[in-house]
Amino acid sequence: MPLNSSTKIRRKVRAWAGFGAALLALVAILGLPGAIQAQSDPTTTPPTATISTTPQATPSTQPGQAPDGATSDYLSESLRLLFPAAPASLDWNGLQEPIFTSDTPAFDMVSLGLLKFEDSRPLTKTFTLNLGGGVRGRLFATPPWLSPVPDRFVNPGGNGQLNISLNLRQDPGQGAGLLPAQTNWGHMLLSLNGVMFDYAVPLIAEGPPTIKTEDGDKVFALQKEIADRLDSQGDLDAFIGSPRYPNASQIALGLAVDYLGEPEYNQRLARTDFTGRVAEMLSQKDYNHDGWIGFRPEDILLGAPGWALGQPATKTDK
Amino acid sequence: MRFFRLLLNYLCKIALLKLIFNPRQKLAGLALVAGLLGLPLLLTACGDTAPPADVAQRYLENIRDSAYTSAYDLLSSDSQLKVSRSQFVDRLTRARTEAGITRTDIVKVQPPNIVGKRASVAYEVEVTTQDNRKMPLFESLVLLQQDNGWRVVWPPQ
Repeated sequence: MPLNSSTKIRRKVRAWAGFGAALLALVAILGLPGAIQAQSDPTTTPPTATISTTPQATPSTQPGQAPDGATSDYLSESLRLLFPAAPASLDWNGLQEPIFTSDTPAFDMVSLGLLKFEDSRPLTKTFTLNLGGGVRGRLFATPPWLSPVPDRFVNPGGNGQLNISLNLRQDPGQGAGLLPAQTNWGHMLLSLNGVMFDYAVPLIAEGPPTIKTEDGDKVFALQKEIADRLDSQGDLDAFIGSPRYPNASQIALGLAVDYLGEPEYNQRLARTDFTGRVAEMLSQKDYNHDGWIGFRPEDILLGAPGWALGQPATKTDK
Repeated sequence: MRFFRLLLNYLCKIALLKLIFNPRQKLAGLALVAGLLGLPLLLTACGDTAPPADVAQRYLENIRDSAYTSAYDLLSSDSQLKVSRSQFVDRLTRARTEAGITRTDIVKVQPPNIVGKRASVAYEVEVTTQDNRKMPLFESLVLLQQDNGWRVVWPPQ
């Protein structure tokens, strides 16, 4: 049937209306992706919450620079030893307003480099803070192998520079949590006038000479036994990570290297006992109902690292 | 913006209903609705579907080759919010230099342990230092399953 011109136009209009509706529907369903993408793009959105409230304290690392220890308001070491829990006299009186800038990072990384096996030389890295205006600061570090000195300071006013020494504790008794044959990640929180700055502090620790590159299968087999132990208890998630051990699988690897490197704590700690202890440590549960979570004091005497000593189980840990 | 989106939504619904209930264009309308409903699924399916071990392998290869810019693309969104691309590149380059590492070889990447949207991939690398010393490192990556696929959590601890 021949169509007249008005019908043709009506059909064209309807077709275009359909196309337009489809386009609008697409935009509505996708929720304007361009705008949302721009908001969530990390490179275009600075962490405004920290930058806008950040004092001018630009942390920068200067590896070659020796610490001068010129921190007048720092509580002396002898007093700290006498009163380790007492706060330093961080008095606000006479403190100037801090100078705020937008270039201070909220996160940074300070690498401690590489620690060779059984290297007893003190490993220290200096870390310089440029302080502007009145700044009161504290440094918190974890795990215990990472020890910043000083860990609290005051810059009453004007521009000041503070050198902080990042020291490595590797006392054999407590071991301070350093694991062999892996990158150990220390963590520091710097509080400047209440604003927190996050620092990752990696340190590569060489493993024992008895563990070579071709021993990977042995190490991974032992690690898998720990994973299987946790899985059998329905706690495989603790092997991936927990608030206490964010990368628990890597902790298991470090302990496996330690155990195999000794070797097997001089054949005095059975493999099943070892995997059970590590599984309990990672999940914080008492699987064998011996009233203890993780490594027992006698295991430490056999060769297990002192810092891994467990604790008595409570009723909720079972 | 919210008002604009609501208005668009409303207009679209009217237009679609008209299209569906018009007997001449019923089929076309239904096809359009099916297509629109399927499109988001299709777009999701276009994300990175690689398993965690493959993503970890790619990440490690980038780190091995000092291709930190590419490695950054494989970080989880939270990790990318924490550290900028330039900072990541700069700090890892510096860390490698300060540790005196001249070469990294990937020895093994283990099958992952997966629980829900979290995975852990253990691996072994051998690093060579400036004094030609070779040392094995046994480490693990934590990965999160995101809309764009499995992504690496950094820093690892």
